[in-house]
Amino acid sequence: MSSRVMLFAALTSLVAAAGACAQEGGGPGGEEELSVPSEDEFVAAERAPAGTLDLSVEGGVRGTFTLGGETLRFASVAREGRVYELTVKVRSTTLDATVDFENRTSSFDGFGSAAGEDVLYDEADRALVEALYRALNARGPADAPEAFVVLRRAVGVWSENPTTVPLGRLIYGDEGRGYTMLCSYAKCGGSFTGSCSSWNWFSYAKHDCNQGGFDNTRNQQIAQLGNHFTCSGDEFYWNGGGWTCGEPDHWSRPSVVGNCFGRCGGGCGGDTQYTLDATNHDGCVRNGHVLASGYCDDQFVSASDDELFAPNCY
Amino acid sequence: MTERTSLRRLAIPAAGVVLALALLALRGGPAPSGARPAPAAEAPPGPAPEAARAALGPAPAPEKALRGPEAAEAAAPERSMPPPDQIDRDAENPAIEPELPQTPEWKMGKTQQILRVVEARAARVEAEIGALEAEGKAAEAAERRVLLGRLRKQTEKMRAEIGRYTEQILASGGKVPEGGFGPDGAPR
Repeated sequence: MSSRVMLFAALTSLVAAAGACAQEGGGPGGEEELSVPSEDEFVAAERAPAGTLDLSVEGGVRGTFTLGGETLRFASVAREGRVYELTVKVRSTTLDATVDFENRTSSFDGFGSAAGEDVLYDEADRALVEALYRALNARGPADAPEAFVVLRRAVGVWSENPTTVPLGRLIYGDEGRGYTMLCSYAKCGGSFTGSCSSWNWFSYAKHDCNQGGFDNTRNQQIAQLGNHFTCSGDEFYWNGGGWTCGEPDHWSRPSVVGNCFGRCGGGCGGDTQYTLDATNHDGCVRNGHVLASGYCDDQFVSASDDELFAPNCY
Repeated sequence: MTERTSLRRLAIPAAGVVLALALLALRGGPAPSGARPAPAAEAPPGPAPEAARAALGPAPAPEKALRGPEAAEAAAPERSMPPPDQIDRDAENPAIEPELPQTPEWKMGKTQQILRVVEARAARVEAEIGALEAEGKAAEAAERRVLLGRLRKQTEKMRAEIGRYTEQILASGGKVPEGGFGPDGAPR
C-alpha cells in the first residue's frame, strides 16, 4: 500500500521541527543545511530508501537507522523455540514486542523510554519507523535470518499503526483462523511478477468505511493482486477509457492493479504475503483513505496477524 | 549567512509546504486528469464517533491530498496494460473457505502461550537488572527496569483476558481443562 503523501508530509514536518529546535537552541557550530525534500525527491527516496542503516546480524539482529538527525536503535534477540524479543527506540518512544513465531502469537507494546508511561504514537514517529521499514526491505537478503524477518515484519506493522489503534495489544492468528492466503490471485498469466496480458481479478477488496458497510459497492474494488505494475500513485485504476495512476475515491467497484496490491506491508514490503485481510486493508487505504486512516483501523487490526505470521507466496 | 539565518530561511518554506499540504487535504486535491467523474455523490466519510475519538486521541491525519505526480503519469499510462475485460482464462483459484471462528478457547490458548513467553522474558530481564546493578551500570539497569515494568503490565492484562475467556467458556456450558488450552485451541 502507498502512503507516500502522508510520509512526505510527516517527514517535511519533522525537518521543519528539527529546524525550529535548532533555532531555539541557538548553540555554536558550523553552518548546517537542513533540506526539505521536494515531492520528486521524496518519490525517488521511496525507490532508493533514505537514511543510513547500520546492521549487525550476529546473535540476532541489532543496529541503528539515522535519518534527518534522528537515530533509531533496534534489536531482534532470538530465544529458544523461535521466540523473538524486538525493540525499536524512536525518539522518546520504545516500541517493543515479544513474538512466539512458532505458535503464531505475540504481545506488542509502546511506551515512553524514560519512564515507561503510555504514549501517543504520532505521525513523526511513524514516518521514521516507515523509513526504517523501507531501509530494512532494501537490505534484507532472500535468505535473511528469521530474527531479521520477524523484525522487519513487526516494523512493518508499526509503520502502518494508526494513532487510533493502541500500541499495546496481542496479535495472533493461524491460517484459516486469522488469515487467509490469496497467493493464486497474485498471479496473472501464471506469474507473480511482470506485466499482465490478461487479468485474474479478485472480487472484492472491501472495507466498511463509516457508512454503507462492506456491501456498499463504493466500498469495493475489483483487484488484480501481485507485483505487476508500478506507478507513483497508490495504484492504477480503470477510468472507463484507460488506466490512470492514482486512486479512485469510493467509486463503484473500479478495477485496480499495481504497486503490489494485496500484499502485506507498506509499498511492496520485504515479504511476498498476499492475504485476504491485507487485500481489504489496501481496499481501504487505496480507496480515498490515507495509510493510517482511522476509517481503516479494523482492516489494519485484521491484517496485523497476516503481516506477522502468514507465509510468503513465493 | 549565519546558521540561525540559514535555519530560519529553510524553516519558513517548510512550514509553507506543510500548510499547502493541509489546504490540499481539506480540498480533497485535484481530480486525476482524464478521470471519469465519480458516481453519484456520496457524503464524504464523517468523523468516527466522538466518544471513541476522544478516548483514542487526536483525529487521524487528513485524507488523501496530493495528486500531482499521479496526474502527470495519468497522461502516459503503461501501454502494455490491457483493458479489464481481458480475463486470464487459465487462472486457477481455489475456493476461498470462510475462516474458522475465533472461539474463546482458541483465544485463551494463544493468550496463555504468549503469557508464558512474556513471563520468561520478564524473569530474564529481572536477572539482567541485578547483574547490571552489580556492575555499576545504573543507566542500563534503569532502562531495563522500565522494560520490566511494562512486561509485568502486559502479563497482568493477559491474566485478566484469560479470566474473561474462562467466564465466557463456562457461561456457554464449556469446561476449562486444568492445563488450559494449547495455542491451537485444543485442551492441553
